[in-house]
Amino acid sequence: MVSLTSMIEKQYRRGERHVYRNIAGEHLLIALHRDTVAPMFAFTPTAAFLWNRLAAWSTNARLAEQVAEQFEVSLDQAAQDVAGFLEQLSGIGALETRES
Amino acid sequence: MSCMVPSMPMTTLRQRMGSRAMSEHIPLWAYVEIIATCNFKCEHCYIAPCAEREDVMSLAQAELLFRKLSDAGTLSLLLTGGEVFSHRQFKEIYLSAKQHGFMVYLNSNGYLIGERWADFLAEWPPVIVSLSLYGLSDERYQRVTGIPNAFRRVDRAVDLLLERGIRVELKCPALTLTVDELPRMKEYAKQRGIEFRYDPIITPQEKGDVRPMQLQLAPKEVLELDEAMDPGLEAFAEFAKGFGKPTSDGRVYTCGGGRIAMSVNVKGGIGTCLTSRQFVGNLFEQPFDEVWGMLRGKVSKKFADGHPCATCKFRTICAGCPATVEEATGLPEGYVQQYCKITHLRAHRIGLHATGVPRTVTEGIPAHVRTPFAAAARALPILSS
Repeated sequence: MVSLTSMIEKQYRRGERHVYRNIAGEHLLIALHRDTVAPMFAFTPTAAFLWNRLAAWSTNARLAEQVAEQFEVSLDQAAQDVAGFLEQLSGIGALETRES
Repeated sequence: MSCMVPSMPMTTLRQRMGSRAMSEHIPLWAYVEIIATCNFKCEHCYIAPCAEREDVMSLAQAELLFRKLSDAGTLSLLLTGGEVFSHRQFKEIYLSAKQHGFMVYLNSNGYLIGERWADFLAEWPPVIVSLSLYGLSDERYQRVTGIPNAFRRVDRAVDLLLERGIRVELKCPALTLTVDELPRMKEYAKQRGIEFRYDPIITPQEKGDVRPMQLQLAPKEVLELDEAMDPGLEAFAEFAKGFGKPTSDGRVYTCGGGRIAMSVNVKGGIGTCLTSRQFVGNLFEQPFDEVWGMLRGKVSKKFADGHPCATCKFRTICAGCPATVEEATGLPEGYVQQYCKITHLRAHRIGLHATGVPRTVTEGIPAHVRTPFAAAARALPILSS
């Protein structure tokens, strides 16, 4: 498990190995390459919101603030959710990271 | 609240999207013909024999098309031909389709798929490569496709794709030229763990030449083939069970064509599906909503009173469809007794019909219903045997 402290120190950006589509009310992430877990993933609306924010480099803390502002959720809860989501994106090869 | 990527089964997701697409008229599926020419010269083909050298979609046209389809909500995109791997810009068109975020499917005869194409597809995988299989020997291939030494190349293509983990399916038209080898072809596919399907309906060439229809099996031959491929027609019975009763509103089209699916030919012509060659508009030249609306108008057609298909309870399991009927008669609301006979024989075999003989055989076809063109009627084995 990655600690919150270390997540905050890192920056994240979405990778170029997937394409996001919004079709028939569904938020979809389509894999371009074969080295992923599945060819297609479904996002919640919150995940789609985060994917859009990840067009530019950002941190867990900044993303959590944006989620908290947008979805009326506590900052702690947002930070947890963001961390989990980033971990999932990383697991499917859809995330780039760098040290801030 | 959760930001998680939900672990929803894809079938559930697709069902949900399909329902919404049907109610909101979203073209989830598009079948795009990027080239009309082919390296094979198949006896039964309805496209390539009519194609000119210039019947090829350019990369710029494909990209224009992909933008329009993407904006309209298309998710699944089939690239087909002709033979797609003979297109000089296939790689660029394919990558463009992938980068537009489509789930890309491919149709091919497999002949041109060597290691380089297999490696390319392994790196950028399609959902599935649907390969046509015309026999299990070079001799058989030469008879059907006119090309020597072709089976050995297609056989290798199957292996190359499977070795790289690319999903493959095999399909074959059930013709007088292929029928005796179909059970062995099914076994060939089974040994490789892949699906195999066959289709006994043959349509005229795009410009009306009916010679391909002379290769079609007579209804009883189709049923014999069905028995050989699916003893007791058990799989067909399951398939039939999965469909509800046909709509009672008299609509000619009960499929997704023009409602959640469409085809585009090399010149931008829009149709309901690949089989239909009567196009309603042009997507290269017209706005998407305009041509999609025209297609919607076409599929809202209703049968005239007294049409034998209007009240048929087997419409959803019919061997034919509005597109095959359209090709044989000129109208999607026409009537082809050949399809009706095949369907009733099948229904009889699985206990859904008492005699296996359609009403039109005993009572005749109403005079106002369009039947196959004279040449097509002569070509069909139902009338010549």
